[in-house]
Amino acid sequence: MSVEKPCNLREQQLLFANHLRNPRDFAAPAGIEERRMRIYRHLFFGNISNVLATTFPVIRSIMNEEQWEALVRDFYATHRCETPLFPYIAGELAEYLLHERDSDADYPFLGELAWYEWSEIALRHSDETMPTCWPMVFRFPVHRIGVGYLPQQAPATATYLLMYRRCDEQIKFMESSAATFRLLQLLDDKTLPTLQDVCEQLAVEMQHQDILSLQTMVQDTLQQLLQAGVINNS
Amino acid sequence: MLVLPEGAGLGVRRGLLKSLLNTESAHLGSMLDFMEVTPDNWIGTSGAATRQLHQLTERFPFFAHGLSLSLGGTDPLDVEFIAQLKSFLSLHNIHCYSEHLSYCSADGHLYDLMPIPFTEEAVKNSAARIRQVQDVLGRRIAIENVSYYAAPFQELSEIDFVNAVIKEADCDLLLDVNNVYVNSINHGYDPEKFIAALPCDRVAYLHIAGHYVEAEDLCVDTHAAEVCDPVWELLAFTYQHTGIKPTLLERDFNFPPIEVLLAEVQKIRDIQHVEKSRVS
Repeated sequence: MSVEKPCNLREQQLLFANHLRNPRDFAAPAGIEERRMRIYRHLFFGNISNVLATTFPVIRSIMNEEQWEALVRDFYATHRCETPLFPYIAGELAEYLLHERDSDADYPFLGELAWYEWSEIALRHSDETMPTCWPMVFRFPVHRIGVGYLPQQAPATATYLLMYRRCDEQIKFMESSAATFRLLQLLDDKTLPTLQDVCEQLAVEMQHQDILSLQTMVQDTLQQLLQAGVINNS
Repeated sequence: MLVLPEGAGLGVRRGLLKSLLNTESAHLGSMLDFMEVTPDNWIGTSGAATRQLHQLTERFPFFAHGLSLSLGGTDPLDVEFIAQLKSFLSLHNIHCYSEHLSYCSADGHLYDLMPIPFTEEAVKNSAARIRQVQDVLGRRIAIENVSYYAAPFQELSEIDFVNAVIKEADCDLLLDVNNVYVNSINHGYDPEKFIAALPCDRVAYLHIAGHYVEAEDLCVDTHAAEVCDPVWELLAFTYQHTGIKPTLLERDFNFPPIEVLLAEVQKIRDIQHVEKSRVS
Protein backbone atom coordinates (compact mmCIF):
# COMPACT_ATOMS: atom_id res chain seq x y z
CA MET A 1 0.00 0.00 0.00
CA SER A 2 1.39 3.39 -0.90
CA VAL A 3 1.10 6.24 1.53
CA GLU A 4 0.64 9.84 0.46
CA LYS A 5 2.46 12.34 2.61
CA PRO A 6 -0.14 13.37 5.20
CA CYS A 7 -0.63 17.11 5.10
CA ASN A 8 -2.46 17.84 8.33
CA LEU A 9 -2.44 16.73 11.96
CA ARG A 10 -5.58 14.61 11.61
CA GLU A 11 -4.09 12.64 8.73
CA GLN A 12 -0.76 12.25 10.50
CA GLN A 13 -2.44 10.88 13.61
CA LEU A 14 -4.70 8.53 11.65
CA LEU A 15 -1.68 7.17 9.82
CA PHE A 16 0.10 6.42 13.09
CA ALA A 17 -2.99 5.03 14.83
CA ASN A 18 -4.15 2.90 11.90
CA HIS A 19 -0.78 1.22 11.72
CA LEU A 20 -1.00 0.32 15.40
CA ARG A 21 -4.55 -0.96 14.97
CA ASN A 22 -3.79 -2.95 11.89
CA PRO A 23 -0.10 -3.22 11.00
CA ARG A 24 -0.83 -5.80 8.29
CA ASP A 25 -2.91 -3.45 6.13
CA PHE A 26 -1.56 -0.04 7.11
CA ALA A 27 2.09 0.88 6.73
CA ALA A 28 3.93 2.77 9.46
CA PRO A 29 4.60 6.48 8.90
CA ALA A 30 7.70 6.87 6.76
CA GLY A 31 11.08 7.46 8.34
CA ILE A 32 10.52 5.79 11.70
CA GLU A 33 13.01 3.16 12.73
CA GLU A 34 11.31 -0.26 12.68
CA ARG A 35 12.71 -1.16 16.11
CA ARG A 36 10.87 1.83 17.62
CA MET A 37 7.61 1.19 15.81
CA ARG A 38 7.80 -2.38 17.09
CA ILE A 39 7.87 -1.13 20.68
CA TYR A 40 4.62 0.76 20.06
CA ARG A 41 2.98 -2.23 18.38
CA HIS A 42 4.05 -4.47 21.22
CA LEU A 43 2.89 -2.09 23.99
CA PHE A 44 -0.47 -1.30 22.39
CA PHE A 45 -1.41 -4.84 21.46
CA GLY A 46 -0.17 -6.24 24.78
CA ASN A 47 -2.20 -3.68 26.66
CA ILE A 48 -5.52 -4.36 24.95
CA SER A 49 -4.95 -8.12 24.93
CA ASN A 50 -4.29 -8.13 28.69
CA VAL A 51 -7.33 -6.01 29.50
CA LEU A 52 -9.59 -8.30 27.47
CA ALA A 53 -8.07 -11.57 28.74
CA THR A 54 -8.78 -10.46 32.32
CA THR A 55 -12.36 -9.47 31.56
CA PHE A 56 -13.26 -12.51 29.39
CA PRO A 57 -11.72 -15.44 31.29
CA VAL A 58 -14.03 -18.05 29.71
CA ILE A 59 -13.49 -16.92 26.11
CA ARG A 60 -9.76 -16.72 26.77
CA SER A 61 -9.75 -20.24 28.25
CA ILE A 62 -11.47 -21.89 25.27
CA MET A 63 -9.08 -20.42 22.72
CA ASN A 64 -5.48 -21.27 22.07
CA GLU A 65 -2.86 -18.53 21.86
CA GLU A 66 -3.20 -18.19 18.11
CA GLN A 67 -7.01 -17.97 18.09
CA TRP A 68 -7.01 -15.43 20.90
CA GLU A 69 -4.42 -13.25 19.20
CA ALA A 70 -6.35 -13.37 15.92
CA LEU A 71 -9.55 -12.38 17.71
CA VAL A 72 -7.98 -9.43 19.55
CA ARG A 73 -6.19 -8.31 16.37
CA ASP A 74 -9.40 -8.30 14.37
CA PHE A 75 -11.25 -6.48 17.16
CA TYR A 76 -8.51 -3.85 17.46
CA ALA A 77 -8.31 -3.41 13.69
CA THR A 78 -11.99 -3.14 12.86
CA HIS A 79 -13.96 -2.03 15.92
CA ARG A 80 -14.08 1.65 16.83
CA CYS A 81 -13.95 1.91 20.62
CA GLU A 82 -15.93 4.78 22.09
CA THR A 83 -15.61 4.45 25.84
CA PRO A 84 -12.78 6.34 27.55
CA LEU A 85 -13.32 4.21 30.67
CA PHE A 86 -11.09 1.19 31.12
CA PRO A 87 -13.61 -0.96 33.04
CA TYR A 88 -15.97 -0.57 30.09
CA ILE A 89 -13.60 -1.73 27.34
CA ALA A 90 -15.10 -5.20 27.81
CA GLY A 91 -18.40 -3.83 26.54
CA GLU A 92 -16.66 -2.84 23.30
CA LEU A 93 -15.52 -6.43 22.69
CA ALA A 94 -18.99 -7.77 23.52
CA GLU A 95 -20.53 -5.28 21.08
CA TYR A 96 -18.06 -6.30 18.39
CA LEU A 97 -18.57 -10.05 18.88
CA LEU A 98 -22.32 -9.78 19.00
CA HIS A 99 -22.94 -7.30 16.18
CA GLU A 100 -19.87 -6.82 14.01
CA ARG A 101 -17.79 -9.98 13.83
CA ASP A 102 -18.39 -12.26 10.91
CA SER A 103 -16.17 -15.33 10.98
CA ASP A 104 -17.23 -18.84 10.03
CA ALA A 105 -14.36 -20.25 12.06
CA ASP A 106 -15.84 -18.99 15.33
CA TYR A 107 -17.81 -21.03 17.79
CA PRO A 108 -21.47 -20.26 17.09
CA PHE A 109 -22.00 -19.18 20.71
CA LEU A 110 -19.12 -16.69 20.86
CA GLY A 111 -21.23 -13.52 20.69
CA GLU A 112 -23.64 -14.74 23.36
CA LEU A 113 -20.81 -15.88 25.60
CA ALA A 114 -19.15 -12.47 25.28
CA TRP A 115 -22.41 -10.79 26.20
CA TYR A 116 -22.81 -13.07 29.20
CA GLU A 117 -19.26 -12.39 30.46
CA TRP A 118 -19.61 -8.64 29.88
CA SER A 119 -23.00 -8.56 31.66
CA GLU A 120 -21.36 -9.90 34.79
CA ILE A 121 -19.00 -6.90 34.79
CA ALA A 122 -21.74 -4.44 33.87
CA LEU A 123 -23.98 -5.76 36.66
CA ARG A 124 -21.11 -5.43 39.14
CA HIS A 125 -20.83 -1.73 38.27
CA SER A 126 -24.54 -1.06 37.88
CA ASP A 127 -25.75 1.75 40.11
CA GLU A 128 -29.14 0.07 40.59
CA THR A 129 -30.08 -0.71 44.16
CA MET A 130 -29.24 -4.12 45.53
CA PRO A 131 -30.20 -6.81 45.05
CA THR A 132 -30.42 -6.38 41.30
CA CYS A 133 -31.59 -9.04 38.89
CA TRP A 134 -31.14 -9.09 35.15
CA PRO A 135 -33.27 -11.71 33.36
CA MET A 136 -31.43 -12.93 30.24
CA VAL A 137 -32.19 -15.30 27.39
CA PHE A 138 -29.66 -17.06 25.18
CA ARG A 139 -29.77 -19.59 22.32
CA PHE A 140 -26.89 -21.44 23.97
CA PRO A 141 -26.47 -22.46 27.63
CA VAL A 142 -23.66 -19.92 27.98
CA HIS A 143 -23.26 -20.50 31.71
CA ARG A 144 -22.09 -24.08 31.09
CA ILE A 145 -19.60 -23.30 28.32
CA GLY A 146 -15.97 -24.03 29.05
CA VAL A 147 -13.15 -26.21 27.72
CA GLY A 148 -15.25 -29.31 28.53
CA TYR A 149 -18.41 -28.12 26.75
CA LEU A 150 -18.18 -26.40 23.38
CA PRO A 151 -21.50 -26.95 21.56
CA GLN A 152 -21.51 -26.55 17.79
CA GLN A 153 -25.30 -26.35 17.63
CA ALA A 154 -27.81 -24.58 19.76
CA PRO A 155 -30.13 -26.85 21.75
CA ALA A 156 -33.81 -26.96 20.72
CA THR A 157 -34.85 -24.80 23.64
CA ALA A 158 -33.51 -21.42 24.71
CA THR A 159 -31.59 -20.87 27.94
CA TYR A 160 -33.14 -18.51 30.46
CA LEU A 161 -30.83 -17.15 33.13
CA LEU A 162 -31.28 -14.77 36.00
CA MET A 163 -28.05 -12.93 36.64
CA TYR A 164 -28.24 -11.14 39.95
CA ARG A 165 -26.20 -9.13 42.40
CA ARG A 166 -26.88 -10.05 45.99
CA CYS A 167 -26.81 -7.67 48.93
CA ASP A 168 -23.27 -8.87 49.71
CA GLU A 169 -22.31 -7.75 46.16
CA GLN A 170 -21.70 -11.31 44.93
CA ILE A 171 -22.74 -11.81 41.32
CA LYS A 172 -24.65 -15.08 40.87
CA PHE A 173 -26.80 -16.67 38.21
CA MET A 174 -29.70 -19.06 38.31
CA GLU A 175 -31.26 -21.14 35.55
CA SER A 176 -34.80 -20.05 34.96
CA SER A 177 -37.77 -20.51 32.64
CA ALA A 178 -39.50 -18.60 29.87
CA ALA A 179 -42.40 -17.83 32.23
CA THR A 180 -40.21 -16.45 35.02
CA PHE A 181 -38.13 -14.49 32.49
CA ARG A 182 -41.31 -12.89 31.15
CA LEU A 183 -42.68 -12.31 34.65
CA LEU A 184 -39.56 -10.36 35.65
CA GLN A 185 -39.69 -8.36 32.43
CA LEU A 186 -43.32 -7.44 33.10
CA LEU A 187 -42.55 -6.50 36.71
CA ASP A 188 -40.14 -3.91 35.29
CA ASP A 189 -42.81 -2.55 32.93
CA LYS A 190 -43.94 0.84 34.22
CA THR A 191 -47.28 0.55 32.38
CA LEU A 192 -48.17 -2.38 34.66
CA PRO A 193 -48.11 -0.80 38.13
CA THR A 194 -49.65 -3.62 40.20
CA LEU A 195 -48.96 -7.34 40.54
CA GLN A 196 -52.56 -7.86 39.46
CA ASP A 197 -51.84 -6.03 36.18
CA VAL A 198 -48.74 -8.16 35.66
CA CYS A 199 -50.65 -11.40 36.27
CA GLU A 200 -53.41 -10.41 33.87
CA GLN A 201 -50.89 -9.59 31.14
CA LEU A 202 -49.06 -12.87 31.78
CA ALA A 203 -52.35 -14.79 31.63
CA VAL A 204 -53.09 -13.30 28.22
CA GLU A 205 -49.64 -14.03 26.87
CA MET A 206 -49.55 -17.59 28.22
CA GLN A 207 -53.20 -18.22 27.31
CA HIS A 208 -53.74 -19.21 30.91
CA GLN A 209 -57.46 -19.43 31.74
CA ASP A 210 -57.28 -19.76 35.51
CA ILE A 211 -56.06 -16.36 36.72
CA LEU A 212 -56.25 -17.37 40.38
CA SER A 213 -53.93 -20.34 40.02
CA LEU A 214 -51.59 -18.17 37.93
CA GLN A 215 -51.51 -15.59 40.70
CA THR A 216 -50.61 -18.28 43.22
CA MET A 217 -47.83 -19.52 40.93
CA VAL A 218 -46.49 -15.99 40.49
CA GLN A 219 -46.55 -15.38 44.23
CA ASP A 220 -44.74 -18.66 44.91
CA THR A 221 -42.11 -17.85 42.30
CA LEU A 222 -41.54 -14.37 43.67
CA GLN A 223 -41.34 -15.77 47.22
CA GLN A 224 -38.66 -18.25 46.13
CA LEU A 225 -36.66 -15.54 44.32
CA LEU A 226 -36.97 -13.28 47.33
CA GLN A 227 -35.72 -15.99 49.67
CA ALA A 228 -32.81 -16.75 47.36
CA GLY A 229 -31.85 -13.07 47.41
CA VAL A 230 -32.42 -12.68 43.68
CA ILE A 231 -34.95 -9.89 44.02
CA ASN A 232 -36.00 -7.47 46.71
CA ASN A 233 -39.38 -6.51 48.13
CA SER A 234 -40.04 -3.44 46.06
CA MET B 1 -0.66 28.56 41.16
CA LEU B 2 -2.66 26.37 43.50
CA VAL B 3 -1.11 25.18 46.74
CA LEU B 4 -0.54 21.43 46.77
CA PRO B 5 0.36 19.05 49.58
CA GLU B 6 4.14 18.90 49.85
CA GLY B 7 6.32 15.85 50.10
CA ALA B 8 6.09 12.46 48.45
CA GLY B 9 3.31 10.13 47.39
CA LEU B 10 2.35 6.89 45.70
CA GLY B 11 0.01 6.11 42.80
CA VAL B 12 -2.92 3.91 43.83
CA ARG B 13 -3.56 0.90 41.61
CA ARG B 14 -6.21 -1.78 41.96
CA GLY B 15 -3.45 -4.27 42.73
CA LEU B 16 -2.18 -2.09 45.58
CA LEU B 17 -5.51 -1.32 47.26
CA LYS B 18 -5.55 -4.26 49.61
CA SER B 19 -2.01 -3.79 50.87
CA LEU B 20 -2.54 -0.04 51.29
CA LEU B 21 -5.66 -0.63 53.36
CA ASN B 22 -3.99 -3.40 55.36
CA THR B 23 -1.20 -1.03 56.31
CA GLU B 24 -1.92 0.71 59.56
CA SER B 25 -3.46 4.08 58.76
CA ALA B 26 -1.16 6.15 60.98
CA HIS B 27 1.91 4.44 59.54
CA LEU B 28 0.65 4.99 55.99
CA GLY B 29 -0.07 8.62 56.80
CA SER B 30 3.42 9.06 58.15
CA MET B 31 4.95 7.53 55.01
CA LEU B 32 2.78 9.14 52.31
CA ASP B 33 1.92 12.82 52.03
CA PHE B 34 -0.53 12.23 49.20
CA MET B 35 -1.72 9.61 46.71
CA GLU B 36 -2.82 9.66 43.11
CA VAL B 37 -5.65 7.89 41.30
CA THR B 38 -6.55 7.39 37.64
CA PRO B 39 -10.19 8.48 37.18
CA ASP B 40 -10.51 6.54 33.90
CA ASN B 41 -10.14 3.32 35.90
CA TRP B 42 -12.86 4.22 38.42
CA ILE B 43 -15.58 6.37 36.89
CA GLY B 44 -18.76 4.31 36.48
CA THR B 45 -17.61 1.54 38.82
CA SER B 46 -19.08 0.28 42.06
CA GLY B 47 -18.41 -2.58 44.42
CA ALA B 48 -15.85 -3.43 47.07
CA ALA B 49 -12.80 -1.98 45.30
CA THR B 50 -14.58 1.30 44.62
CA ARG B 51 -15.53 1.56 48.29
CA GLN B 52 -11.93 0.87 49.26
CA LEU B 53 -10.82 3.73 47.02
CA HIS B 54 -13.31 5.97 48.83
CA GLN B 55 -11.84 4.90 52.17
CA LEU B 56 -8.46 6.13 50.97
CA THR B 57 -9.63 9.39 49.37
CA GLU B 58 -11.54 10.21 52.56
CA ARG B 59 -8.38 9.85 54.63
CA PHE B 60 -5.56 11.13 52.40
CA PRO B 61 -4.94 14.09 50.10
CA PHE B 62 -5.36 12.90 46.50
CA PHE B 63 -4.23 13.95 43.03
CA ALA B 64 -5.80 12.51 39.87
CA HIS B 65 -3.93 11.50 36.76
CA GLY B 66 -5.92 10.77 33.61
CA LEU B 67 -5.25 8.53 30.63
CA SER B 68 -8.09 8.82 28.13
CA LEU B 69 -8.71 12.50 27.53
CA SER B 70 -6.58 12.54 24.37
CA LEU B 71 -5.56 16.17 24.84
CA GLY B 72 -3.36 16.07 21.77
CA GLY B 73 -5.85 14.22 19.60
CA THR B 74 -8.18 15.29 16.80
CA ASP B 75 -11.31 13.27 17.59
CA PRO B 76 -13.84 15.64 19.20
CA LEU B 77 -13.29 16.09 22.95
CA ASP B 78 -15.62 13.78 24.88
CA VAL B 79 -17.76 16.32 26.76
CA GLU B 80 -19.72 13.66 28.62
CA PHE B 81 -16.46 12.19 29.90
CA ILE B 82 -15.21 15.63 30.99
CA ALA B 83 -18.45 16.09 32.94
CA GLN B 84 -17.88 12.71 34.61
CA LEU B 85 -14.32 13.79 35.42
CA LYS B 86 -15.58 16.98 36.99
CA SER B 87 -17.86 15.03 39.34
CA PHE B 88 -15.07 12.58 40.13
CA LEU B 89 -12.63 15.37 41.03
CA SER B 90 -15.20 16.94 43.31
CA LEU B 91 -16.37 13.66 44.87
CA HIS B 92 -12.82 12.65 45.82
CA ASN B 93 -11.65 16.15 46.73
CA ILE B 94 -8.83 16.03 44.18
CA HIS B 95 -6.12 18.65 44.73
CA CYS B 96 -4.64 18.53 41.25
CA TYR B 97 -5.73 16.90 38.01
CA SER B 98 -3.15 15.98 35.39
CA GLU B 99 -3.29 14.39 31.94
CA HIS B 100 -0.75 13.37 29.33
CA LEU B 101 0.46 15.65 26.57
CA SER B 102 -0.37 12.89 24.14
CA TYR B 103 -3.27 11.38 22.24
CA CYS B 104 -4.88 8.00 22.70
CA SER B 105 -7.64 8.20 20.12
CA ALA B 106 -7.86 8.76 16.38
CA ASP B 107 -11.20 7.64 15.01
CA GLY B 108 -11.82 5.72 18.26
CA HIS B 109 -9.77 4.87 21.36
CA LEU B 110 -6.58 2.79 21.32
CA TYR B 111 -6.10 2.86 25.13
CA ASP B 112 -2.45 3.81 25.06
CA LEU B 113 -0.39 6.95 24.51
CA MET B 114 0.73 7.99 21.04
CA PRO B 115 3.35 10.64 20.31
CA ILE B 116 1.88 13.93 19.13
CA PRO B 117 3.67 15.19 16.02
CA PHE B 118 5.85 18.05 17.27
CA THR B 119 4.42 20.70 14.92
CA GLU B 120 2.96 24.20 15.18
CA GLU B 121 -0.43 22.83 14.17
CA ALA B 122 -0.30 20.31 17.02
CA VAL B 123 0.70 23.04 19.51
CA LYS B 124 -2.42 25.02 18.59
CA ASN B 125 -4.63 21.93 18.61
CA SER B 126 -3.42 20.67 22.02
CA ALA B 127 -3.49 24.11 23.61
CA ALA B 128 -7.05 24.79 22.42
CA ARG B 129 -8.24 21.45 23.81
CA ILE B 130 -6.45 21.95 27.14
CA ARG B 131 -8.06 25.39 27.43
CA GLN B 132 -11.47 23.91 26.71
CA VAL B 133 -10.99 21.22 29.37
CA GLN B 134 -9.80 23.83 31.88
CA ASP B 135 -12.87 25.96 31.13
CA VAL B 136 -15.30 23.10 31.70
CA LEU B 137 -13.51 21.77 34.79
CA GLY B 138 -13.18 25.28 36.15
CA ARG B 139 -9.58 24.67 37.18
CA ARG B 140 -6.10 24.71 35.72
CA ILE B 141 -4.79 21.26 34.84
CA ALA B 142 -1.24 19.93 34.63
CA ILE B 143 0.01 18.20 31.49
CA GLU B 144 2.64 15.48 31.62
CA ASN B 145 5.64 15.22 29.33
CA VAL B 146 5.25 11.66 28.02
CA SER B 147 7.82 9.06 27.10
CA TYR B 148 7.99 8.46 23.36
CA TYR B 149 9.89 6.06 21.16
CA ALA B 150 9.44 7.81 17.83
CA ALA B 151 8.80 11.40 16.79
CA PRO B 152 6.68 11.22 13.64
CA PHE B 153 6.32 14.29 11.40
CA GLN B 154 8.63 16.27 13.68
CA GLU B 155 9.14 19.99 12.95
CA LEU B 156 9.89 21.31 16.45
CA SER B 157 12.15 19.99 19.18
CA GLU B 158 10.39 18.30 22.09
CA ILE B 159 11.34 21.08 24.52
CA ASP B 160 10.03 23.79 22.17
CA PHE B 161 6.82 21.84 21.65
CA VAL B 162 6.16 21.29 25.37
CA ASN B 163 6.99 24.88 26.29
CA ALA B 164 4.82 26.28 23.50
CA VAL B 165 1.82 24.21 24.61
CA ILE B 166 2.20 25.25 28.27
CA LYS B 167 2.42 28.89 27.26
CA GLU B 168 -0.45 28.85 24.79
CA ALA B 169 -2.75 26.72 26.98
CA ASP B 170 -1.83 28.58 30.17
CA CYS B 171 -1.65 25.26 32.02
CA ASP B 172 0.67 23.64 34.55
CA LEU B 173 3.24 20.92 34.02
CA LEU B 174 3.44 17.51 35.62
CA LEU B 175 7.13 16.89 35.09
CA ASP B 176 7.84 13.18 34.76
CA VAL B 177 11.52 12.89 35.58
CA ASN B 178 11.77 9.27 34.43
CA ASN B 179 10.23 10.24 31.09
CA VAL B 180 12.85 12.94 30.62
CA TYR B 181 15.54 10.38 31.33
CA VAL B 182 14.02 7.72 29.03
CA ASN B 183 13.52 10.26 26.24
CA SER B 184 17.04 11.60 26.63
CA ILE B 185 18.36 8.08 26.02
CA ASN B 186 15.92 7.32 23.23
CA HIS B 187 16.40 10.61 21.40
CA GLY B 188 19.95 11.46 22.38
CA TYR B 189 19.70 14.69 24.33
CA ASP B 190 20.94 16.05 27.64
CA PRO B 191 18.23 15.48 30.29
CA GLU B 192 19.55 18.24 32.57
CA LYS B 193 19.47 20.80 29.77
CA PHE B 194 15.91 19.72 28.97
CA ILE B 195 14.77 20.20 32.57
CA ALA B 196 16.62 23.50 32.90
CA ALA B 197 14.71 24.80 29.86
CA LEU B 198 11.29 24.08 31.38
CA PRO B 199 9.29 26.87 33.06
CA CYS B 200 9.89 26.02 36.75
CA ASP B 201 7.05 28.28 37.89
CA ARG B 202 4.63 26.04 36.00
CA VAL B 203 5.72 22.73 37.51
CA ALA B 204 2.83 21.51 39.69
CA TYR B 205 4.32 18.18 40.70
CA LEU B 206 6.71 15.45 39.63
CA HIS B 207 6.48 11.80 38.68
CA ILE B 208 9.19 9.24 39.10
CA ALA B 209 9.19 5.58 38.05
CA GLY B 210 11.25 2.65 36.86
CA HIS B 211 11.83 1.66 33.26
CA TYR B 212 13.14 -1.22 31.19
CA VAL B 213 16.42 -1.01 29.28
CA GLU B 214 15.86 -2.67 25.92
CA ALA B 215 19.10 -1.53 24.32
CA GLU B 216 21.87 0.96 25.00
CA ASP B 217 19.91 3.61 23.09
CA LEU B 218 16.39 2.41 23.83
CA CYS B 219 14.51 2.42 27.15
CA VAL B 220 10.85 1.49 27.62
CA ASP B 221 8.81 3.34 30.23
CA THR B 222 7.24 0.30 31.90
CA HIS B 223 6.57 1.42 35.50
CA ALA B 224 7.40 -2.17 36.37
CA ALA B 225 10.75 -1.83 38.10
CA GLU B 226 12.44 0.15 40.84
CA VAL B 227 13.75 3.62 40.10
CA CYS B 228 17.34 3.49 38.83
CA ASP B 229 20.25 5.60 40.11
CA PRO B 230 20.54 8.00 37.15
CA VAL B 231 16.85 8.88 37.59
CA TRP B 232 17.35 9.52 41.32
CA GLU B 233 20.24 11.81 40.40
CA LEU B 234 18.06 13.57 37.83
CA LEU B 235 15.38 14.06 40.50
CA ALA B 236 17.94 15.77 42.76
CA PHE B 237 18.97 17.96 39.83
CA THR B 238 15.31 18.78 39.10
CA TYR B 239 14.75 20.07 42.64
CA GLN B 240 17.69 22.44 42.14
CA HIS B 241 15.89 23.93 39.14
CA THR B 242 12.22 23.82 40.18
CA GLY B 243 12.56 23.91 43.94
CA ILE B 244 11.14 21.02 45.95
CA LYS B 245 7.88 19.88 44.36
CA PRO B 246 5.43 17.18 45.47
CA THR B 247 6.74 13.98 43.91
CA LEU B 248 4.88 10.77 43.21
CA LEU B 249 6.19 7.26 42.69
CA GLU B 250 4.41 5.34 39.93
CA ARG B 251 4.37 1.57 39.93
CA ASP B 252 1.94 -0.29 37.63
CA PHE B 253 3.25 -3.86 37.40
CA ASN B 254 5.45 -6.36 39.28
CA PHE B 255 4.34 -5.04 42.64
CA PRO B 256 6.84 -5.71 45.45
CA PRO B 257 5.64 -5.79 49.09
CA ILE B 258 4.13 -2.43 50.05
CA GLU B 259 7.02 -1.76 52.46
CA VAL B 260 9.44 -1.82 49.52
CA LEU B 261 7.37 0.81 47.72
CA LEU B 262 7.10 2.90 50.87
CA ALA B 263 10.88 2.72 51.22
CA GLU B 264 11.20 4.02 47.67
CA VAL B 265 8.85 6.87 48.54
CA GLN B 266 11.05 7.53 51.58
CA LYS B 267 14.00 7.87 49.23
CA ILE B 268 12.15 10.72 47.49
CA ARG B 269 11.79 12.40 50.87
CA ASP B 270 15.47 11.88 51.63
CA ILE B 271 16.42 13.64 48.40
CA GLN B 272 13.97 16.43 49.21
CA HIS B 273 15.57 16.72 52.64
CA VAL B 274 19.06 17.00 51.15
CA GLU B 275 17.86 19.72 48.80
CA LYS B 276 16.21 21.55 51.71
CA SER B 277 19.47 21.54 53.70
CA ARG B 278 21.43 22.58 50.61
CA VAL B 279 19.27 25.67 50.10
CA SER B 280 19.05 26.74 53.75
